[in-house]
Amino acid sequence: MNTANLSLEFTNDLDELENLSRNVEIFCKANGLTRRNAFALNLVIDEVFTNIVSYGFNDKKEHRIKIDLRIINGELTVRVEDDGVPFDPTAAPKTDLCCSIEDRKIGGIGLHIINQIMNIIIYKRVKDKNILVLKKCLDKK
Amino acid sequence: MEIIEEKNNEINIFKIKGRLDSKTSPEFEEKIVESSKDGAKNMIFDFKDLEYISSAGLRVILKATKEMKRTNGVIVLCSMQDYVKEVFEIAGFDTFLSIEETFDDALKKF
Repeated sequence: MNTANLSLEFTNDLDELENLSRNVEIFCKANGLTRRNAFALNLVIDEVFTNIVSYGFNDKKEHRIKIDLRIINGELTVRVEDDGVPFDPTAAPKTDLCCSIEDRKIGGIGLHIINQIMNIIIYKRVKDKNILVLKKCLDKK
Repeated sequence: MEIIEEKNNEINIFKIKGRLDSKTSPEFEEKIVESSKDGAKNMIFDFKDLEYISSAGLRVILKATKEMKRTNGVIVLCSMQDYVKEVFEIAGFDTFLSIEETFDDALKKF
């Protein structure tokens, strides 16, 4: 079986994005992901992380956000854990793509992107933590 | 991210280098707001050197496009790399934005 793992941890600060994307990039290179998959993975993790940092916390305290990446036989799994307010992205309203620009909503674009890129999205609330598991079948080289 | 602002006749040109994400997008938004306050009506966003865009970047562009529509201005985007363009397509933004292959094509829109 062909497996790869990476466990990352960040604080709830958008300044961490650069560090986050650098780590994801290294993981993608080391595991031979296509440029297209690497871009998509970076984007999805950025969207999830940015959502948590922007809307997940009502206090001014520092929080830890855990991100685990795993590839098993060409299937990529991203697991994100945070102790923010409960938020189930799978229950959020879908973006209306067919409306005019005047009616096009500013919010919800990030979730729409995540839904388009990933094949499976599972949300669980366990012991005051949000656990989001996202899966994608990677391109064959 | 780096923003280079130029003016060509009556067109404000923004060349974006690097990443447009939730960290860097507010700076781009400020620049757009500033120049529209100064009366800019025509804008080109040149994305030749844009390596990455997230929904935060798209949001700034959507806001700017809405604002320009209200004031009868025009925004044209150009020279996107494949992966960047794909983000616009996934988000369905390619249906209402003017996206041109090259900078010269963008200029012809005015």
